[in-house]
Formats: sequence, structure tokens, C-alpha cells
Amino acid sequence: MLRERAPLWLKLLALAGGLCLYVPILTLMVHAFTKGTVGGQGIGLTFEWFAQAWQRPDVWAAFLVSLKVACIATLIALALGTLSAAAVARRRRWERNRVSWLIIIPILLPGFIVGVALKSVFDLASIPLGYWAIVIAHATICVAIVYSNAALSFRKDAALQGEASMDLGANSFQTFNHVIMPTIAPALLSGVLLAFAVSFNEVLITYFIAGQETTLPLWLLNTFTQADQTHVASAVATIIFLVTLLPVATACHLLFQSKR
Amino acid sequence: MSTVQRLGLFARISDALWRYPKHVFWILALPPFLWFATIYAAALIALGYQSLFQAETAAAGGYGVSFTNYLDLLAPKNMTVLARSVVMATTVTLAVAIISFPLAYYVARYSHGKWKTLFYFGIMIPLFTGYLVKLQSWAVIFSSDRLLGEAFSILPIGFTQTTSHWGTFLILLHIALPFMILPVMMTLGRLPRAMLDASADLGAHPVQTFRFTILPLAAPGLVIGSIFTFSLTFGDYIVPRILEHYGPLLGQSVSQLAIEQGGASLAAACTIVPLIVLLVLVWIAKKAGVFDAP
Repeated sequence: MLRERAPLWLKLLALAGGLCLYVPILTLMVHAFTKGTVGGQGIGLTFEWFAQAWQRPDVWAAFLVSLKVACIATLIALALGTLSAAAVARRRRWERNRVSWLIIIPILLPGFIVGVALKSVFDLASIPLGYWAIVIAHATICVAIVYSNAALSFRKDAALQGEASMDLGANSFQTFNHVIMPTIAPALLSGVLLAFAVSFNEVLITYFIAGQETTLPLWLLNTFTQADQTHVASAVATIIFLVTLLPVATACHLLFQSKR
Repeated sequence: MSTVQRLGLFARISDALWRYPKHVFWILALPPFLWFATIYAAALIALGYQSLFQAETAAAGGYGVSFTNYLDLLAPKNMTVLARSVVMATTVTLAVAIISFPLAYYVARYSHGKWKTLFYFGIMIPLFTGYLVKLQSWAVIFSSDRLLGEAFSILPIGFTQTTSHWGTFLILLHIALPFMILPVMMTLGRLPRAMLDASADLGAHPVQTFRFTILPLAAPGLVIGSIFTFSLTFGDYIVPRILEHYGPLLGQSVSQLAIEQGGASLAAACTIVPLIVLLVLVWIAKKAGVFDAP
């Protein structure tokens, strides 16, 4: 088939869009790895800011809080998201749509609305703000991500193949172990990885319910006001970016493989 | 002679799982259902309670229902904040739609094979890049020991009181961009080539093809992207606060109230109203069939 070529103006506009996406992040990386300015004494490559961040106990504490919260929230989301996807897999289309939209509400609404709502729930129910409050909030938003990945795979592949397996005489457990699980595993894994990335980066809801706890994004937020800290903050932001990059890239890879 | 085989417990459970799909459905659905029902109900009850039972009356020992919080919302000064937020969110959404469309169209129509995968990759990464990572990038761009030297001081952006809305606009635009590109790209990816050819064959000018064929077919993606963008922008409170936006935006005021002592009841009222408005808007979009996955 003859491939069409894009007109030049479209290419340029697309390129401009791409630059809008990437220039700020690249600036950040350059800032994290260099010292000096272009105009002044010249620019030099350095790992000094990463070394400084490494030695900071407050950065480590925040990093560990973020890591633990993300892991627990992701596990809860994995359970709830997979269960809901499995439950609706064989229901009618309008029922599935209704469930999808109920699950997706928390990520569709503005951050402050969800944050303030959860804060008043925790206040009235006298659940202390902090660690577990963050875990509950993150789990709730992460369900949407696990669900949307799992639902598609359940519906398209697992349902039909499961039926075939039962027709061929396998019992429910055999079908689950040998047919359904292997079929949905890549989708679940990519859901888990993306959910981890979202939880690790979440700040707009966390801000309201963190109490005394500091996650890594919240640490970054508190550091904005300190002008002498911008380089270390850039180093930390780069670390967050890289910690997110790996799971997201793996998840994308899995998604593309299953598409083929 | 037929022998009736007695089934073991294991096999009987296995059969039951197949035989009673309704029960299986509820066993599966119960944990997530309880989780979401509890949180949603609790959120609505808590917001309603806090906004209706004012902090002062509770402190005085009375338990009166009062709508003062809701009447307070109608004060002209609050209406100004609301209008400012809506204008900001709308302009950012429009700008994001305009910037993302060519990129989405190019990737969906003209890229193939490895390149297409790479482009999808390139959209997914900023989509999941954290809010604060993006914000830190802009802090670097705007900061005093800026890497780009004085380049950005020529542009009307930065931390000054009068121009900070340009900075806010730019940062919000950057944060929201991938949330528009991806859904638009998905819908454009399903655009039937034959339709475009047919349009051209029937003598339509490319502009007409765009207006009457491409745009209507891309509409679901644009609507989903706009919901995400509007929601992100409208609900943002960190960017305008850091840039010291010349007048507070809605999220900024509410977030301030929510963490202040005694501000919780007004904050609840300020939250429940946009919450209901947005839910109704999303419901309308859903009725129009935007969320119906193919």
C-alpha cells in the first residue's frame, strides 16, 4: 500500500506539540545534572545534587513513605479492580458502562474536590489523617487504572477462551488457572505498574489528607519556597521521573505486545 | 447400566461456580461495591453535613440546619473567583485542544509500525509524569538562577503580580496536554480512511473534509480530553498559589479554607456545588455516548 506523506505544515505543528510536551522536562534534567549558567562561568556536568539528595534524611523518609503507600495502595487496587472487572465481564454492555463510570469518577473530578471530600470524611469519622488516609485515597483512584486495563482483557479474550476451556471439559479451577489467569496476567501487570506510577506521583488529593506525613511529591512542594534548594529539588524531581519511567515503559510494552 | 458418579467437594464447588453466575457475580462484586459505596456515600454525607451544620452553631451547642454557607457562595466576590476559574479552565482547554490536534492527527494517520509505537510511548510518558515533576521543570525555567539565562524574562511570564496569569496558563497547559492528546489520538486512530477518500472524491475541499468528516468523528475524544483538561485546570490550586496569581482561583480559595481552622464548613459548601455541577455535566456527556467504548 502506498503510504501517504504528511504535509510539511502538519509535521511542523505536530513537532511544536511534541516540543510543548518535552522541553520543560528536558530542561529539568539538564538543570539536575549541571551547575553554573549559560551566561556566567559556563556550564558543567555534575552529580553533586544527586549526592546531596542522597545524604538528606528527609528525602529518604519521604521516598520511603511514597514507596510504601504506592505498594499498599496498588495491591488494594489490584484486588478491587480485578474483582470488579471479573464481575462485569459477562454482564450487558450498559451495565458495564455504568460500572466503568462509577469507578472512574475519582480520577475524573478535580483534585481539590476529591481531597476536600475525603478530608471531611476522615474528620467526621475521626480517622486520623496521615499514612492510612493516604493509602485509602490512593487505592480508590488506582482502582480505575487497574480496572480499565483488566476489563478489556477479560471481555475480549478471557471470556471466550474460558468458555472454550469449559466446553472441552475443564472445571472452573482448571479454567481459571490455565486459561483465564495467563490471558489476563499481562493486562493486570500493566495495570499494576501504571497504578504504582500514579500513586507515587499523586499530590493534589494527598495534600489535604497527609497530616504530618510527607510523601516525596509533598516534599518537593514544600521545597519550592526555598530558593537555595532548587538544584536538589530538580535532582529529586528527576529521581521521581525515573522511578515513574520504568514501570510506565514496561506497562506500555506489555500493552503493545497484547495488541499484536 | 449407568453409574451415578458421586462428585467430590472440589468438583461440586467447581460446578456451582459455573451453574450460579448470579451468585458468582455478587461474590466478585461485593468487595469493590462495598469499598466504593462506603466512600461515595460517606463523602456526600460528610460534605452535606459539614456545609449545612455550621461550625458556629455547633460550637454554641445548637444543632440547626443553616444555608448560610450556600448563601455566602453567592456573594459577588465569590462569583468573581468562580468566573475567573471558569475563564482560565476554558481558555486552557481550548488552547490544549488546538495544540494537541495536529500532533494526534499526525500520529494517528501518518505514522506506522515502529514509529507509531514510539509516538504512543512518547505520549504515555508525559501522561504519567508526576504533577510536581512538571511543576519543578517550570520552577527551573522561571527561577532566578535560570539555565536559559534571560530568555524567559523577555516573555510576559514569571512571578510578577501582573503577569502571573500567563505563567499559570502556560504551566496548566503543559500539565493538561497529554490528557487531551491521548484520547484524541485514540479516536482519530479509528477514523476510517475510506471516509476521507470518499469526502475528497465527492469534491470536498480539505477544509470541508476537516469540518464535516474529521471533526465530528473526533468529537468523542475531544470531549473526553476536554473533561480531563477542564477538571485538571479548574481544580488546580498549587500552580496559582506558587505563582501568586493576581486573584485567587476557586481551587486555591477552597484549599486554603479546607486546611484553615474553622473553614471546613464553607469549604464543604464550595466543594459540593462544583461537584454536583461537574457530575451533571459528565452525566450529560455519558448520555451523549462519549464513554461507550467500542
